[in-house]
Amino acid sequence: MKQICDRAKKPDAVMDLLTTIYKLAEKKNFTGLFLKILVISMFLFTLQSCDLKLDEEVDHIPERPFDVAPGITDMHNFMSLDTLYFYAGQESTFDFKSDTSNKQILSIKIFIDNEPMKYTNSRLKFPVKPGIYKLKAEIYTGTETGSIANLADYERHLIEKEWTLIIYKIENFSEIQGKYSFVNGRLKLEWDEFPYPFIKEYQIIDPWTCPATHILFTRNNSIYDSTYWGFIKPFQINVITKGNSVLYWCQIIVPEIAPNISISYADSSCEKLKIMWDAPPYYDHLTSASLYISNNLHSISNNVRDTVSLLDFDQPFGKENMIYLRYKWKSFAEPKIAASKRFNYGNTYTPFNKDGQIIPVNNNVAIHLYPTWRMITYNTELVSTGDTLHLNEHFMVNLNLTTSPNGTQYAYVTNKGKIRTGLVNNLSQNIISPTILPGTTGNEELRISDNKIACIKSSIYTLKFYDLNTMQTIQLFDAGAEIDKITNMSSDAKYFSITFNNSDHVYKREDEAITKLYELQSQSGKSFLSFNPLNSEQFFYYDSQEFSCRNLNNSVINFSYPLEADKILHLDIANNRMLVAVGNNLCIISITDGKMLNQIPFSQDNPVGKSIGQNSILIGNKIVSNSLFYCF
Amino acid sequence: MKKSIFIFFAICLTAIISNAQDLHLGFSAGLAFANMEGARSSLENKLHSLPYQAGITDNFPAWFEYKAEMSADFDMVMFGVYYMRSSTGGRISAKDYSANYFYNVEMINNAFGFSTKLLFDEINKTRFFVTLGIGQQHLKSIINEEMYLYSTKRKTILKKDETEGQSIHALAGLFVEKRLTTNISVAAYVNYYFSPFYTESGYRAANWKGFRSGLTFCIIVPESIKNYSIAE
Repeated sequence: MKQICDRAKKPDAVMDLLTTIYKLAEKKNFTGLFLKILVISMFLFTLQSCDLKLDEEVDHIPERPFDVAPGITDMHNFMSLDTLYFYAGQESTFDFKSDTSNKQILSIKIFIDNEPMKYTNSRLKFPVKPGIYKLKAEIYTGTETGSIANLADYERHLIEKEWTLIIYKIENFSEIQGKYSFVNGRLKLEWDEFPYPFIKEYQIIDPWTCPATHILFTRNNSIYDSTYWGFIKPFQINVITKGNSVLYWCQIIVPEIAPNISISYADSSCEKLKIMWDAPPYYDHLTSASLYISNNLHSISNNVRDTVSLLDFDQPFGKENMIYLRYKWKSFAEPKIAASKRFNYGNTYTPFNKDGQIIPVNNNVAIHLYPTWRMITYNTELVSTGDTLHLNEHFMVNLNLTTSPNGTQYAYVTNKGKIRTGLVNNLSQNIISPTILPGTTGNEELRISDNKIACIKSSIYTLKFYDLNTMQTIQLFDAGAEIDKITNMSSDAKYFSITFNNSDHVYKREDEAITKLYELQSQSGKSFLSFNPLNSEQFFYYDSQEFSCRNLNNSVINFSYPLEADKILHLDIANNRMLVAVGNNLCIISITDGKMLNQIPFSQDNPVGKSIGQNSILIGNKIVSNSLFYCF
Repeated sequence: MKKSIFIFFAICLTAIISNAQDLHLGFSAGLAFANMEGARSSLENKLHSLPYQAGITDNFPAWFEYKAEMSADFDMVMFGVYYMRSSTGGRISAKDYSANYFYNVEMINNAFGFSTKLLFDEINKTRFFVTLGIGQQHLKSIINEEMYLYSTKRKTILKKDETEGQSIHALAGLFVEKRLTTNISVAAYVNYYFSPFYTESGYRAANWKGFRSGLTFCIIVPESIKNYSIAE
């Protein structure tokens, strides 16, 4: 019980007052009553003054330990400088950090010319008036003494720093520009130069990333960027002064530069479709270009300046396809390429109506016979229609329609025993002969020469030669045996060949007489015989084992070589090649030396294989066979 | 509430005085041994929450109690009213070269009520009473937290808070009175004080229950005030 009622002992003035009151009461004979009042008053006073007083203190008072102020750093390294440069009115981060984790910064006061500045969220707005100022920072940090004030965050270290502050301004600051261009396959950025000497360097950043990605520093006002390859890319140029302040300078946005992709429209049915695009101006950074068709990789070019790619024949391409050009991971699509039926592209296709039959005539023309008695010419290269001839006569399709060796004339036998002939390239210009074979069925075999001499099988034993120029029968020929087939007639009608008794017979026709030149034994029906339209004195012959070129008027064999073929389908003498069927392959073979030029597999499941027939011919780089074209 | 209690006591007092034989005016001083368990616990929690070394220098000790009482004496029984005031407090203190810190909690209890004293024995003019009392208590707690920094010579008030509360209290005990003269007597008492319905938490939960003991100086006013004199 060491606490005592202190205040009760102290108030002497109060005691004096009470004494005075007592004396006054004594004079007035109110002593008893005032004594009661006095006692009550003293009691109440005592009550108020003798409440517990809390004023004890602890005894432990430690010495102040040694404690030094922490080092101060800042993101711009302002603390290491004496002069700072800021643009007039610029607002900048002015942030400081303590290098001692237990002595963090508690408050910062900034003064410019001793005037306290508004400093919130570590940002400071600098004066708008250019000039030289004195900038001062008072940085208060915590201590590490462990004292009460320290632990209660009331103890501080004060670190002061002063700078010379230079506020500058630039005329037409808002008009500062940057531009981009491509030089030697690289992106070049240029911008207006900072006009003051206190520039340290330019900083280039990507402002669209968060945080902004630093790209590089440079002292020049232009850079080459090798990282750009087509995609949209922004560049922000900042000026860093010698006072380490950062000033936004300008922004350059390089747009997406996509290659202009186009596709060629082939003139020829067998020309490969060609996809072309512009060489990228930023090729320096690219190592390859990948071409995708409908998300499938078509080709990769390791030279990005190669800007053409050919579609393979087996590459289908149509309306559903989309072309993409990909550099690295970036794809550039070309959606504007309009698909058309010409894009129904492949190694086989049917350019004509499937009804009826196509009879190849020469390298340019085919004749389409419709069951509805129409005959149409087609340009086989452009796949376009030519003349149309409506037939009045009933005839068996393909059985007796023939063309001259040079492909300019056509002729067929009508069901009334007449011959209608005309020009292939002008079907309507035709003439009809008088009745040559009364009572005919229209199935008779017919051959026609370039000079319009017709050879018609007039009976099973005889041939009739008819001049369609003069409309007169000029010769009759009795073979003396049952004729199997008229195999060929030369372009000048001087020679013809027929087959009977399993032999090929070659005849020379003169005005007075018809002379047999050759009788060639054929085996198993595989033989082939054709006069050479380029040399009227030669013919080609295949006897199922050997292919040869022989002279007509002597027995000289110009060349021969063994050949294994099921059937010779067409001789393209002008291009020194022939089309033969061998097993499940179509082979293109050099005529003069029998060298294999091309081999095209097919089967009965293959539409090519199904359509192979007597009339298959070679035209350019395709095989035309009935209604089917095959490109190789 | 306060008004109705005042009226109640005024009516009681008037009734007692108008019928009493003698009027006892008692003035007591004693010690209050208050329990204060909730307040002590709160002070401990505060001490542990401080980041620096500190100590409890006052932990709600027993402290003086003062009482004024007016009773009507009917020989075998006395009826009266009383007013009591008691105080205690807690203090946390910390001090070093940098600062002087303290956290004071002052607790004041002003209670007034109605008492009954029942005479159960009298030996040589010394009367022994059983005391029963009930009334209202008005509790006040004042929290004052300050830190004085020597470096800046500045006082920082960290917290200043004052809360008040009211509730019912009761007391029961023994009262022994020895009449010295016709108008003066002295007495001693031992009471047990408690608050039956007070359940608040924190410093306001200062449970003032506990023993009270002290001495009383009584002025006995006779039935007629004219007969009153300070000396026999």
